[in-house]
Amino acid sequence: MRSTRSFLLAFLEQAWLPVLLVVIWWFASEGNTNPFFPPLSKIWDSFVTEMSSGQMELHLWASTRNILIGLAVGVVVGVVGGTVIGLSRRLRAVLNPYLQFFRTLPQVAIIPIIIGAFGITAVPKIWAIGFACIWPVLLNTVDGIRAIDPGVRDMVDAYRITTWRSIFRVVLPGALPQIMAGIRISLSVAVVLMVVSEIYAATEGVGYFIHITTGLFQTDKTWMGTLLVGLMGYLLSVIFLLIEKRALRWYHESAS
Amino acid sequence: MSSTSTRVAGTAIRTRQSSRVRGRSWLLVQQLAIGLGIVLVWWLVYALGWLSTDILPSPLSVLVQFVLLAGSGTFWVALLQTLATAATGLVIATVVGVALGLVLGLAPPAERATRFLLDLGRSFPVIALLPVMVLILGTRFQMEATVVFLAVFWPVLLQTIYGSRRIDPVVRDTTRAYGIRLRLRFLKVLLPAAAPFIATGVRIGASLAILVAVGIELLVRTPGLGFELGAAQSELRPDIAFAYLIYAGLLGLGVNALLERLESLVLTWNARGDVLEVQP
Amino acid sequence: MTTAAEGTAMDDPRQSTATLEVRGLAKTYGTGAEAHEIFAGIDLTVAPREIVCIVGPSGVGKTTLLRCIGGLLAPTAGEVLVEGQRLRGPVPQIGIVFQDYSRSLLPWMRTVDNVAFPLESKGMKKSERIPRAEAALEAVGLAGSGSRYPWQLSGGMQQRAAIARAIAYEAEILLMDEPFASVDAQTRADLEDLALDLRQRLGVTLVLVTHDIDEAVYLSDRVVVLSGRPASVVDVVDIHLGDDRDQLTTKSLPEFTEDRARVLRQIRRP
Repeated sequence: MRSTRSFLLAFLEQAWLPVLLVVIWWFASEGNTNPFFPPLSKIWDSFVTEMSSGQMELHLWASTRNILIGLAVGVVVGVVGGTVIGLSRRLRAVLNPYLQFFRTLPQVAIIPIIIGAFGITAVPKIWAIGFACIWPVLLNTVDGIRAIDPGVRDMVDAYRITTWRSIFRVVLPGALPQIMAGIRISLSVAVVLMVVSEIYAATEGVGYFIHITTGLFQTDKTWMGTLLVGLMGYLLSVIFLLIEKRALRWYHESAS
Repeated sequence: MSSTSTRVAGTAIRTRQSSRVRGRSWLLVQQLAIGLGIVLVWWLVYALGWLSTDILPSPLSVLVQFVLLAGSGTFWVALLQTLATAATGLVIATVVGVALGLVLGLAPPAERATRFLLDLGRSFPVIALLPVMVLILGTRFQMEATVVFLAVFWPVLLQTIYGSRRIDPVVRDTTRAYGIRLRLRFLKVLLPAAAPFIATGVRIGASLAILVAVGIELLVRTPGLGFELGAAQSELRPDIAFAYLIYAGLLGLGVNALLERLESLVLTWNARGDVLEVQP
Repeated sequence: MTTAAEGTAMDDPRQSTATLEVRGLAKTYGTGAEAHEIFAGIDLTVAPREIVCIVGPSGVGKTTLLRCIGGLLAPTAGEVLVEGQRLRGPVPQIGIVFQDYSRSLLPWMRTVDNVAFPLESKGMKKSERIPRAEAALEAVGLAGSGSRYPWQLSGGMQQRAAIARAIAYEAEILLMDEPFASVDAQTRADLEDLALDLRQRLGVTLVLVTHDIDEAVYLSDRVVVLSGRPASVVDVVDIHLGDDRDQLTTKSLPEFTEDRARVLRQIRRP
């Protein structure tokens, strides 16, 4: 009973301002004739119309698919590459300038090159997202492995833990908190690249929807698409946070 | 026990110093070899015709364009335009983000009330606002700077909140025990304590600012590196596009190195305030 | 919970038969003019079932010596022999217990899995290694704590778990590097008694590095005093306190005070 009440209180403390802002937006924009700021009610209406027509669903699905496949590719390549590099001090030193270059490269710059080369279908977009997602994961994996305590390494040596087993049971779990932080950065990179690649040249996706409705001057739909992309980014990060919390239970609990 | 090992390690490092110069030049040789290897593979793919020349230019032609660009006015103007957009957005975001962040860090109820908005804001791909912003502000410099600002604002704000809440409880008690005035507490205690985290936020923000600036130029064809890159690609000049891509990477690298240097000059008393995850 | 059969299996005296010999061991870091000799000409033979403590002033190189004996670090000269075989790296007869238990136990594995981890690496089946790990936990007084994570245990319990890992590994020789340095005094006394008890019940050999002279005298059959620069063995003190020792009476015996004074004199010798 008590916990329900404190939960409710915490919820109210966090919810009052967002709710207030939406309400203000709703009433302040009502009856607005400025074409750039359509009433929130109109944006909501267009959302209902588009969703019921089934078109929006397809766009949402295309965007989500590109993000998730691209992210998966980036994570796999990043973790494998990061593990190989992280385990070798020499390799780390030799490759460092190249890794730094790819990390600080403004990743959107590869979009015209990849799309220009391979066309406006989904696959080149996934490639671009995957390529951009590699670097945060890879560099975080390298750092995470490097930060593993020397005492742990002594234990692995003293008890003659085999290399493969130590990679999967010691090195990767030990680096997991940092790998997760890297994936989190990659997720936001993936969302940005999804949007840019779909506005740049596409035939489907939420970014394409925003772009095409701008051209048709359907501002209510443009606003709706934009809000939807924001919501999508938020939901993906919330889902990721839940996964991370589960995977790193030992980390959070041992820290407290 | 630990003192033994540190001493031993320290000695070992000192003894290695004589051979360090040799080691460093050997490392440089290996790094260059890797670079040559990449170019060689690239050249092989090009020479064997695995990819069309419209897609993959020869390394040599990219090198030629890379050198030519350095002597062309178009390139330097584009570079400055990108930098101006990114810097304007970054500076405004830093001022607003730090001020707001310190206030939210000091006032937990305000932080709780804005928590959802912060979470939404930081996971919002701000570049998606671009079409709306173009409708409202047009393809002007103000629009570009505004979009950069909206994107960069979040990491700076979140890092500042994080930093100002990481203040040592002992320091907090001390300032209260001695009745340090609010203004002084703000400037002499809170700000320096949060500074390492703010610096990290600015560094993250700078990379993001360049990324967003290039993205805007690419999508709405405002002048800058992104525009030139996109134009080269659509004119089927991948050699020029690749050269611009390399410059874009070097720009990111340069700005990052500059900020790191600045940070170590300003924040001499403190370690870097990197955090794995910003959780307001 | 372990069954009675497994419990007795662990209580069966293991009766270590492995002799540990250290011959002319030396370790030097660096080369040429900047060479730094940590220790040189260390000779030591540890008989099966013996408890030997290596003491010396801090910074003398005790930990480096123990790492060489354990095969974690290659010596510059000399050799370490286990059962007459020259050591080229860690061997299964030796289990090492590190000072920093919080780092040598993996926080993402339950305690029982931590203890069983070296066995898993040996290729032992789960049905075999888990009972053995639980028996080892029982032997160190941690019965029933295996399902908890290491960070849910107190410091003393974590060090017990680290000792259990060495025992489950079926090490005959346990090398311990300042094993009780990071726990409070009461826990420390309990762990010292655990070490004596393990030798009594399982017949393991113990080689401990410590800077605490009371601890060294209380635990040892022999105390090896390391001193000088580079460090060498300046004295080996035989301790005659018998097999049955306890914290109160043993430490108030005149022999204890005598041996303690002798070790202290050797350490302080210029």
